[in-house]
Amino acid sequence: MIPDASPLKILVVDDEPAIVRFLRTGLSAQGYTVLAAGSGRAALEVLEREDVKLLILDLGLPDMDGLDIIIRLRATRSMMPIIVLSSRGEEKSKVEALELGADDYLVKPFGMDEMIARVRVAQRHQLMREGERPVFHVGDLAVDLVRRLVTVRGEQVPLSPRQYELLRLLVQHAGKVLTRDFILREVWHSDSNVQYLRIYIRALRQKIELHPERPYYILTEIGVGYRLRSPD
Amino acid sequence: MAVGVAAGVCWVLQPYLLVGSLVLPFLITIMLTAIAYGLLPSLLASVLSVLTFDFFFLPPLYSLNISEPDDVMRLGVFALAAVIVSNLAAYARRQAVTASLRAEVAEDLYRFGRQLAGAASLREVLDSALPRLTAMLRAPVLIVLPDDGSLAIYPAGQRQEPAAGAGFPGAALTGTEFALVKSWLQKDPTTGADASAPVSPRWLLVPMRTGQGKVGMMAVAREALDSLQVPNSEALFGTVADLLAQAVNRINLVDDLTLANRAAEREELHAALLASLSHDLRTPLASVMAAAEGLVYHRDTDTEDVQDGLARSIQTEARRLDRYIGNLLDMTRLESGLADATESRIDLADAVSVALDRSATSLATHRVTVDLEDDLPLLAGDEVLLEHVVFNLLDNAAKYTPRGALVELRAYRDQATVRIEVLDDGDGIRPADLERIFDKFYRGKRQGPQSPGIGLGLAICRGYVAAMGGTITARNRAGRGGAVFTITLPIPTIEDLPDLNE
Repeated sequence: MIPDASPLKILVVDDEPAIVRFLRTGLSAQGYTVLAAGSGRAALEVLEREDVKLLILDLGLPDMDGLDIIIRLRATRSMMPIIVLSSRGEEKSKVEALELGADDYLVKPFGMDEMIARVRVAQRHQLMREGERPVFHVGDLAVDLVRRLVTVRGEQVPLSPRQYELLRLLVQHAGKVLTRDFILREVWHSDSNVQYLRIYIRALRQKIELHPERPYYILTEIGVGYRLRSPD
Repeated sequence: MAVGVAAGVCWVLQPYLLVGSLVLPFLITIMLTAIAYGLLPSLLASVLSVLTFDFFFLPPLYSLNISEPDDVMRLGVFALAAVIVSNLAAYARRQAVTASLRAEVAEDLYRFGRQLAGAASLREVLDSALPRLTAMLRAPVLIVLPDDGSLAIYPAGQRQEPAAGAGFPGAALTGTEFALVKSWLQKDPTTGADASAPVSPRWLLVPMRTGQGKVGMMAVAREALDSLQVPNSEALFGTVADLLAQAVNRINLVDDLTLANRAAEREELHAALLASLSHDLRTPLASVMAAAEGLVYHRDTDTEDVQDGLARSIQTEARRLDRYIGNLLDMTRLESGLADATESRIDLADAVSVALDRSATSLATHRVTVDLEDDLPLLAGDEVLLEHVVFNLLDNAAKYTPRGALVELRAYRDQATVRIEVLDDGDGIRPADLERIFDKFYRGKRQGPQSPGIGLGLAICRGYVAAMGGTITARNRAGRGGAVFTITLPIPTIEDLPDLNE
């Protein structure tokens, strides 16, 4: 599964033994090495000691707020992918975690398949930072980032400059959830007018989706933002 | 001028009347002057009349001299009569003016009272009282109410919350005055209904009290009082303060009652919750436990198929448990009061696409059609709540209709609203249940292939839709079988739409 010879180390930070056991079993089967920490302090120690490549972090820890760990990690300029685990109905803290620099989130209870998919996206995303591919493909959608050309099912789709900017941002973070505020800041350089985003997403879907009411490429993350389907 | 007219009239009438009768037009003039302009002008008219009368009508004519002693007498009586008439008429005038002012004040008070009676909250009482009071008394007015150990001061004519803890906003009351009012209000608050009000140089302090005791204090700026032309102003202020006191008292009582009602409702909900917990949560839990025991203790004897079946039933029942708990959490959130959820602008398509994805499993054995009108406007709401509602309706449709049934999702614009409908072609809902299915813990008699939930889903939906300023209703399809759930949401005004060619 993993091209690297040495197995990738994932740290799971959660105080629920059942969740840790579940993740350990599932992720080990995929060839990852799984370390675990039951508290924020223990997590920081492991991060110091071990060469952890990916962090799975529960936000509700007994000794500290999970968000603080994200802040500390990002303060050290670490680009380690972070996947946040949250409970139902915590839209606010989810968005906050993403804004602080988490890469993705999963809501408990979740399935193993979902977790593995998120881990892959986070990993690939880190690899892609070094060398962006010039042409992005997912399904029948192709985005040529050099020539600024967008084609769907082989046909070129004309986009306005702003629409292209929006799509390019989604492509650059394909598979990753982007918060509405992040998109607004990146594309409109302000985070005020959420209706702009709504209208532009709708227009983009009209142009590239076969069934705009059941989108395949531009997926809604309800209460959070949008995600472009990741190429497989 | 009036005297001139009177003189003219007398000149014309002179040939027909005795000299003595000629004073009458003058007296009438004096009276009219008094009624129209008050005492001073009428006294002036009296003097002029006497002089004119003497000059023109008493011999020797065209001179102020008087030849006949009789005429001196006549003139004297005329002057006396003129002054008396002036006074009487002016008095009548004052009475009339006062009466009309009284009527005006009474009218004002009546309207004020009605407005107060219609107010449903302290905010409304103050909002309606303060501007009207200022207009009615033509003076700056403050209302001071006890507030959690301190005082809340409401400035007239401004919709401004008193700064918390600050005590005296806008230099309305000085520290001394504040302390004065505070100590009066706090001194024996229950029985102090007849304690006399404190006195302050800048403000006329009028106590607001009811039979139960002190409610607050009304303060009227003294500087404006001097120019106030209202008769019996002390009594008027007293009446106004009483009206206010009653209104505030009534609001306080209503608040207490609402709290009591809410407490009772909560108790009822807790009871229902406990009943639900013990039954609905234990049923799937029992299945999970049984299956888990089977897996643990009969591992050696059970075939792989049996084990797989047990594991799957654990999965299904655990998912159901998760849903129940989710619903209970949502309900608690609703019960604790959901804030107004119309802040954000959302696209119905987002909520619908996610709801369709989430219900794909339960709708796998059904036929599903989706028809969203083109160019639906953005809505004012919360996409998490809206998605939850649409998902619940789709999931219900899956639950209560047989395999192969058709489930339709439509959305269209209807005047100033957007309607979202979920239709199925199942057996429909019993007419008696159409409204009750939205009640908490009420389970409709629709029996589906799967066991129904705990009867919270639609109650949550209704709560969520209401938080977004909309309504949700159920009906049966006319002519053919099946139920229709309709969500109606108002279309907000959205300014500043982007130019899509940018």
